[in-house]
Amino acid sequence: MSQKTYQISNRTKGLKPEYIAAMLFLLPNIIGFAIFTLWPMIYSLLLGFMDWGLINQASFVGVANYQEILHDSIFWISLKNTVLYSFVKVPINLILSLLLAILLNKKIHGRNFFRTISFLPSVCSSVSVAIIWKPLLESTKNGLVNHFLSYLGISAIPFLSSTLWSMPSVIGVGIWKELGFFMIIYLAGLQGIPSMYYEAAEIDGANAKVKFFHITLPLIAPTTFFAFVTSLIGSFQIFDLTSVLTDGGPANSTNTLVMYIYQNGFKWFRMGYASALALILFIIIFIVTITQNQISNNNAY
Amino acid sequence: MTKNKKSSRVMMYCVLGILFLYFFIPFWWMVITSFKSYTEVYTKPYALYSKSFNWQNYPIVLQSLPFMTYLLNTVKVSLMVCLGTLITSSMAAYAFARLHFPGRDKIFFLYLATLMIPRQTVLIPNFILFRNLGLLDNLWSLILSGIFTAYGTFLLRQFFLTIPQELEEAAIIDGLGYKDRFLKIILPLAKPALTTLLIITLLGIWNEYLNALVFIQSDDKRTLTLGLALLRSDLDIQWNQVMAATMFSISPIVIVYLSAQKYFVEGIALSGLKG
Amino acid sequence: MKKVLCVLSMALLFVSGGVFANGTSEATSEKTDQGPITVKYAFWGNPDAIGVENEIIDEFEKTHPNIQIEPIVSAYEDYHEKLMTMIAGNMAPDVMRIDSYNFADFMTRGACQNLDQYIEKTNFDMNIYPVAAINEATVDGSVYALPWATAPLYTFLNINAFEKAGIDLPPLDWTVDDFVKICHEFKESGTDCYGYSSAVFIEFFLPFIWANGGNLLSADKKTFTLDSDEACKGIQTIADLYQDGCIPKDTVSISEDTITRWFTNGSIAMRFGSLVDVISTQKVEGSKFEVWTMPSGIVKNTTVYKSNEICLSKDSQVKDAAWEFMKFLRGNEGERLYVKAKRISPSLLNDDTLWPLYLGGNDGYPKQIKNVTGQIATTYGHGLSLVKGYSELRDSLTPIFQKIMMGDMTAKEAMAQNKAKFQNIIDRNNK
Repeated sequence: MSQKTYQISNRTKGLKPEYIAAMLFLLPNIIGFAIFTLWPMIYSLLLGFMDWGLINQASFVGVANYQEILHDSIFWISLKNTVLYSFVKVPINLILSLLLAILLNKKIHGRNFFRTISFLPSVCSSVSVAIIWKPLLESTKNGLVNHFLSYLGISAIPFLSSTLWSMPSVIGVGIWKELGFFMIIYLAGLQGIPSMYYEAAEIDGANAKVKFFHITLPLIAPTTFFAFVTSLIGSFQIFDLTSVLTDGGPANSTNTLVMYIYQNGFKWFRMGYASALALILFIIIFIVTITQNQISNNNAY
Repeated sequence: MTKNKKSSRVMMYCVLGILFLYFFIPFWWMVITSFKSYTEVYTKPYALYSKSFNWQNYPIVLQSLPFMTYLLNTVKVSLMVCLGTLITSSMAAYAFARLHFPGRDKIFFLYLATLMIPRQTVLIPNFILFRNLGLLDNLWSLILSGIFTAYGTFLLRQFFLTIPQELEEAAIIDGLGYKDRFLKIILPLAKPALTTLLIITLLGIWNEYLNALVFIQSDDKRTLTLGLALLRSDLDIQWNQVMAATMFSISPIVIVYLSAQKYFVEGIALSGLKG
Repeated sequence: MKKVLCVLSMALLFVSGGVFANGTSEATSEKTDQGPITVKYAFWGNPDAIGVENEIIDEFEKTHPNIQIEPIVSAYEDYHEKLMTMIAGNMAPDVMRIDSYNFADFMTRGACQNLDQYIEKTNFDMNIYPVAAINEATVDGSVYALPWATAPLYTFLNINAFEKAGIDLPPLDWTVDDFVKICHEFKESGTDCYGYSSAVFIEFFLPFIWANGGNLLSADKKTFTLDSDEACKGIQTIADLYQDGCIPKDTVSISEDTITRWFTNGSIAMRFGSLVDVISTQKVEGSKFEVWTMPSGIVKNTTVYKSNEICLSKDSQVKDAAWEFMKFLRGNEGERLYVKAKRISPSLLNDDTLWPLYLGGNDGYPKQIKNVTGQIATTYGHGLSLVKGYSELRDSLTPIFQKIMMGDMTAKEAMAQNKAKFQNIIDRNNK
């Protein structure tokens, strides 16, 4: 696709009509954005340099919070957990969602039914999903999943009560919840590919693999970028799922950064420290997003 | 050739069958639990059937708290947020995707950046903001904080970028201005993306908890998520009622999703453009 | 799409009318002195609990027509977080309920009003409360809150399970050794029932720590003392039981409502729990259980005995009216209504009709609750060492306990390794 755009008007003195148009289009959103999204974010970043117990007055402490973070072992553990969750869950999720979208984009019986059923998990809040899955994953004979496994001859797996299995279980539930969600995003992207391209390729004798790698993937690149960034941002901020499923346990094996931030800010009366942690999280997500952008050399951005 | 096609079809349906079980069984468990009696929930919690089919759980729980009011509040907030998001985000996305102005990409990156801050840390600043605006304990606080997230602008901008430039170039040659190109070319083509955004926004605001928790004080402003949380309070939780109320609160979205299904079927019609 | 937008726009017109109407009606609040004074009262609860509070509010408003109570209800889950947000935003409710684990933090950070002058002004008799409860709300001789739901944490004994396994119920003054013995007996009994399980929180380990003579903090509450031999021995007792298979493996990541489920479906024979767990267990048909003391040892009083608090906000504009409400809420009138609904067990010392009111002529299980509660209040009860930073300490101890239970480290090793961290928490909060 050509990157060049046409100059709409000749260079004239004063504001180009394009700038005015842009301003008018942007205005409603950007005003609200500045007040209701940007300002609170700046405020909270400034809090990172304070010590605030919420109930008493805030006091300025400079970079003391950040120095403490460096030596905070729980910070490093929760960072590791968050990174592990994100880097495993996001690729698996996106690949499966894309495959599912391609499958459900074909003309097959009951397509709408399957689209609905795979989307159902996303309709529930994370809390509800965790509430549903928690008893299903019990490792006693009562846990439904282990019940099924016993029919296959597999002995009970301590899904939520061992440090080895807790994170995989959380990842599994997370994927269950969001498989359908990213499927519909990919569906929207797939709908945007003109069928002409596929027909032309078939005439040229291309098989399914060629069609996938040379037509589908490149043309949904912007969709993939969006899905990847939002999925990554979302999984870096995972909170409800781990809170309800395992409460960060056992032994901090599923303690995530946002959980640790929330704990510090709202349970331990350390809002300043929590805001400092949030800034670190922000920087990390920022770096990862930029890196992904560079690696895939995405035309989309 | 047909044998291959048939076996691949069979495999496809097998995969779909497994998927069906994978997605469906936890929901089945939730539905069944909503019909269990209190005793059954506690003594046979994992059973996938219920001997005592307590359909009364539904009317009982829906009257234990004013769930109809909660539903109405959630609907009001969701409607306004969906409308506001669709309108303002599509306009902003068009500006970011198709128009050129100084600082365009930097501002867009600022939008992206706000997605990277966890919502828990902006909770207190939000509270203070809405307190200063006098909008606490008012549904507008939920509405305003829901419309202006960067999510919608991001999604639509990415989608607008995929619309072939040639279409707009043809329109320019035909003499259409920005407004017309936006309304007559871009928006109609973006129906799948707009529908997707509608669904995603609806999901986000329907299940909104944190903001509702701190902004809402009185019972008549409560939303469904807060009502559900009340049911889970204290240690004598009635799980059958919790599940019944959860079913009640997800039904509207499922209905909306079902009716919006057909917009996913449409694709881009390129007829008449290139030979 | 146009159709959808049309529908949405029409709905918008309809809806915005309603939303605006709601908005403006809230803005007009009573500011005149002639009108009724509004007191905002924050508490947590599920629909049953909310019903009781509404009853109490109605009763109060009948006898105090010039005071209106505005309830601010929230689920227990994020209740204190919401409270903190409101205080941080200068919108603190006038009367607030705070649970025992958080009260020290709220109080020492200045959220609560000193009540001495109000008590004196209105001649309120503080002797109706158990001494232990008042102590938790007192700092430097001044009272900062009125106790609510002063009660022990009981040991729940599953009589069905005991009978099935053929094991006798222990006496009230049973020891930790008896407890361990019973757990092993259940394991050997072959009835597929575990001896014990409870969520992994410090308060469920404290009985074992106290029984050996140890404690969480030193007497002056300045030093972390879980690394002492006595304390570690107590923690290790539970860890050993876990590793021996007397405690279900899922216990390390369980939440309290699952414990109730396990208890009522016969998977565990003993658990620790509060009065609200009594309510939920009673509702399951066929459950026979008893509430008991916690096992003791060298030290006789090892049953956790704690109190939630009702306090008055320091920033309240209507303190006198709020105090009137607090007196009602925590006096005999409010107590009677709570007890009648069984949400709290009787704890006021000046009313003998409370227990009959609680039991309501019902002799179902737990049959000995009155006797056991009385004995705990006098003999077996032990208060928590509440101090500023307690929530942080409590939350930080849980992962360590989980590690110890799973056998990654012994209690002694874990405590030695982490002592500095915990001491730092205490120091940082109590500078």
